[in-house]
Amino acid sequence: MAEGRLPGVTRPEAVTIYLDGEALQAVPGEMVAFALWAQGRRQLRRSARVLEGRGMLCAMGICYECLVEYGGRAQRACMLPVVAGMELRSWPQEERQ
Amino acid sequence: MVVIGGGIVGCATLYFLARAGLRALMVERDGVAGGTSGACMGHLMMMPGPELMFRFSTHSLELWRRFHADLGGFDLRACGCLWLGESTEDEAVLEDLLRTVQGLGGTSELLDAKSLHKKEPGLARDLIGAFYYPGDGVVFPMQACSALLREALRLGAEVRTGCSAVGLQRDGSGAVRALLTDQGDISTAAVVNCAGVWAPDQTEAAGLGRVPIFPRRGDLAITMPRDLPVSHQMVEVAYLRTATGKVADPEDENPDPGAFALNLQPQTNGTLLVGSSRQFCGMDRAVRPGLLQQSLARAQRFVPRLGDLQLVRSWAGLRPYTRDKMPMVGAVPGLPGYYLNAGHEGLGITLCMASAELIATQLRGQEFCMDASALGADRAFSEMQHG
Repeated sequence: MAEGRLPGVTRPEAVTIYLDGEALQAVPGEMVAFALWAQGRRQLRRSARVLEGRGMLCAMGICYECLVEYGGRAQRACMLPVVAGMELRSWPQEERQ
Repeated sequence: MVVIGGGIVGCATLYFLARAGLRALMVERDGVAGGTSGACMGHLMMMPGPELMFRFSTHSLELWRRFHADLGGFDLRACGCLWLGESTEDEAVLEDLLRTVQGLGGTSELLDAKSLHKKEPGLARDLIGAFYYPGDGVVFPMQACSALLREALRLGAEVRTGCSAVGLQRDGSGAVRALLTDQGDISTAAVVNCAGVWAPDQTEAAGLGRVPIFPRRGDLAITMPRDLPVSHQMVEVAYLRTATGKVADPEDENPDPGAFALNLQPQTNGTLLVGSSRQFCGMDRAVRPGLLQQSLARAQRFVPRLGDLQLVRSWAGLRPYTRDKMPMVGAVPGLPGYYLNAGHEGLGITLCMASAELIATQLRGQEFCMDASALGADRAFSEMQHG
């Protein structure tokens, strides 16, 4: 839980979120992208056509690089608050040419 | 000691308490720098008056420089500030600024139109000149909060985020005994309310009534990083009127039309912050185009190439305003152990270091380096009593 975060701060109790079925710890109320960033996850998806790595770039909802699938549609992880038990999927799921 | 609020004032207070060897804990309802400090410009700005504010602000800037030199961990751009004169009517204001600041011992100078153009070629050619104060600068506020907390934690302080203060418990003599939070009671002999625009909610929860600190909104925009057309922090002389003059009252029944003046902050990362407006409209932080568009047009009048830059984001922040334009720093009368450190309006980043040092010296029963009794929290409560 501590990696990438200021150590020594007492935070609200962590909750579990799922990314492609994998259980991850996150702080309620923070944005999904930051929860993933704090655990060292820089690449969140691959670009649709050339399959290059993509991740959070602007951190303010402008660049759409940190898209994840949630609730059946692509959402910006940097603008998506953590909710206990939420199930996220990497986006896009299918590799296209 | 418990500090309420994880904005820049709370972070600086926690750091100064820890540095003074006091056991200190901060509670923050949301995340660090999630309110006003996360929505501001980050300017470090000398206040030309009154004399106490000049001394207090320049002392705070000195504390910032020392903290940055000793510990670093955040961006501080020592870019100096230009107070721009637009027409011959501003000449007297510029001269008055120079006389005042030099009279108080501040290094500064007047630039005529030619030397202003040489210093800042990106400015409109028809400006008459500027007052230049080299000691000002810009910090990145979220980083600065984090640097202050990192050091406070190293010195043994504690930080709890996601923890809301909801009330106060007093002992038999009426003094502070514990801070009540949504996660249980925290026993403490002293509480420092650093909650900014939320400070009235906290004084009310402590049974003191609402301290007269009011949200005064500011709309800002930021540009895409690139080679900037200007390199100094800049304000127009009219900024003094909108920032420190009386333009409206927060409790007036009529809607406040707001005021705006040029305020440009070139950031260390190559972006330019453009502001700024001031308006009383409650806690509303939704972006509204009106005043922001006027601020942008005003900025372009001073920096014609501003139109070449791309805006990437705009937002609003809430400054904690006090009627006499000075922060309320010190012990609250009638409630031993309760301290206020709030109401810095647009100067929270500038003043937080001096303000925090003042609180720490009071809590240790020491002398501060100047007579700052005019900033005392007692005036808040006399204002409440006399309505």
